[in-house]
Amino acid sequence: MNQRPIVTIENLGVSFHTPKGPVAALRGVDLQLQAGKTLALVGESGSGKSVTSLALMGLLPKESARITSGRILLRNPQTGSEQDLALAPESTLRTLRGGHIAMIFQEPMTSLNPLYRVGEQISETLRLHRGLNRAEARKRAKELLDLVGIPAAEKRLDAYPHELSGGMRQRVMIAMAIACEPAVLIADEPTTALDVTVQAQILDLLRELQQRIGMAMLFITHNLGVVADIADEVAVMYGGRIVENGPTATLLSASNHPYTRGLLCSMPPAVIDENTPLRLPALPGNVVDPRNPPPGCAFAPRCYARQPVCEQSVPTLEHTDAPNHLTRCFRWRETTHA
Amino acid sequence: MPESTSPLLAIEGLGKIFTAGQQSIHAVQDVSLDIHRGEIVGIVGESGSGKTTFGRCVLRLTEPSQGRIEFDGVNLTHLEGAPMRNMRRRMQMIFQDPYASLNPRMTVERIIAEPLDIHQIGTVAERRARVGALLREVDLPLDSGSRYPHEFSGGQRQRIGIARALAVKPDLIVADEPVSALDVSIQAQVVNLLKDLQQRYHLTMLFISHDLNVVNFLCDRVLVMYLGRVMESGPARLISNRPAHPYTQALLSANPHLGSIKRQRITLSGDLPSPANPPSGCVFRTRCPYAQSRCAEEIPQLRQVAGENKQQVACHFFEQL
Repeated sequence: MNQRPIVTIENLGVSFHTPKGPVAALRGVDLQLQAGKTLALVGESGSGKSVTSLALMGLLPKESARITSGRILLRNPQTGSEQDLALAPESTLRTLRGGHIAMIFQEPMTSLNPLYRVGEQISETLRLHRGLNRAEARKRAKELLDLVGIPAAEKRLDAYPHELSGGMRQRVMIAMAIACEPAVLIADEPTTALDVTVQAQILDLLRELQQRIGMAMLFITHNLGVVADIADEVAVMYGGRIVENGPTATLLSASNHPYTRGLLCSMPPAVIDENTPLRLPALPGNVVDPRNPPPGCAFAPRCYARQPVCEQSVPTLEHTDAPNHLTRCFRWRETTHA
Repeated sequence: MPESTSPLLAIEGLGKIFTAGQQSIHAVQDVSLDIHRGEIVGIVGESGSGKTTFGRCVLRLTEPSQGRIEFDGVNLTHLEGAPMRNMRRRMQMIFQDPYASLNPRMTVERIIAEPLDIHQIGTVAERRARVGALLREVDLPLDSGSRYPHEFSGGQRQRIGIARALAVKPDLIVADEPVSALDVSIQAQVVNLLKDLQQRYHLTMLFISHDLNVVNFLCDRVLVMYLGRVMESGPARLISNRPAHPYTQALLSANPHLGSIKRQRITLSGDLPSPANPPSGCVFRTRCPYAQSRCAEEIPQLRQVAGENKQQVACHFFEQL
């Protein structure tokens, strides 16, 4: 039996104001994050995965983005009370960010200030959210650098970000993010810019930290290989909607959504032998343009299984026969064993 | 492919040293490689491995510091002026960033026709016809010619870059990370396109990428580079199934793939050492789980794997691993 989720996103809609009128980036997203578990949010460009994470962080650009529907409920693990972040004022969000919810990005330099020493930046979070004094914060910052596997941590406290390698910066950013032992960690493509050997180290580190702190993790990625490595559960996004959601093993080996299956087939196999096909069974066409989405199922124009109904109405996200597995496809019964 | 024919491209002992003030950086050291007609050879490596510098040296877009490059029997190493320009026509490049490598102020037709203009191939009408044929070749809409790069998606722009490279009917294409910036589903389309073109025209290609799976899938042969040196080379089938070098093994094991749910992997500790100050002996030894004292003293030479005459490994101890 699942415990109550830390985060419940319900029917979330977000639209952006553009000179050519509003563009809907999210069209009713439902997601749940459980303590101690990792949900991977997978999608290609324009699918809405980063907008989802920014909405959860309360970091949508105020001038151009608007939440048009839904709720983002954050449960306080101590009191059990829930609050709706979609309605929360900026002052509340500011208290939650860095404390309850933290985020790491693809490019560490977006969250590290080049002008401040690494130690000062980690200490700032601790002094702000935890009320530690300067000496306590520095001591804790050193412990955090140890924890994220930075050698000679005491010395590194006084380093500037540019003096560190890409992998080390990523570790510093992770140290900042977990400084206050957040209940929720959002990781937006945190390993995409790293070399694979360093990526493997960072994934190991995130897993270890999760076990230690028990945080829920929302891991955003376009790489299904990384998903296999880190996620308990996967949600696949396309055209601003979740199109499939379920346990990692189910999604990767028994997906019944044509888009997920297409993505899986697009990946070159890890092992080459005489049975390797000459061509990859690639999905035709382009990723959906959010400015000009098709009327029915957003994936229909690229789908091998489409029927007239797919071009007219949007399928709902419905339960399949597998446990905890949902799919948004009119034809999932037929495509399951296709 | 018959082994007797001479290779289209023969590179021997290629090296590139960049100097900055007092420092000198060996970006590429002692790389030798033969590519035969119709072959796709992959270079795989992480950042700082020298793979991009190597690719640029092959076309002499970067001047190599050491070694010899022979293209179709002609020594390119010191070729200048018109003879070099002539050779350049036969070697084209595809770049990683389809946004940065296309001039935003030129129509797609002018972009694709530019190499024809430069090398003064054909009349205006012939060039126009050739552009039309190329657009078909790379599966772009035929009205693309009059449009501008910003009107296209990333995958379509990469197709424009490929059409431009094909315009002068080159013998060799050097493609530097051509699919790395693309979405997964689009990456597969472009990989298929490259494979189709290779089969249709018997193209010869040097394909540079950090993605071992893409390289193994697309290429006949693979060179694995680390800090400027070749660690291992061999047919893709062997590299993906039976890698012999500890670095290749670690790369494969770190490379996340669908079968990797809860698997054990060899995790390399630490970062790549600075190329300005590479380790003595074997450059990989500081991160190698099997390093011994000999590895610090002696640079391992590429040696044949017994029974696999096409697989070569630069490791003192690979037989014992």
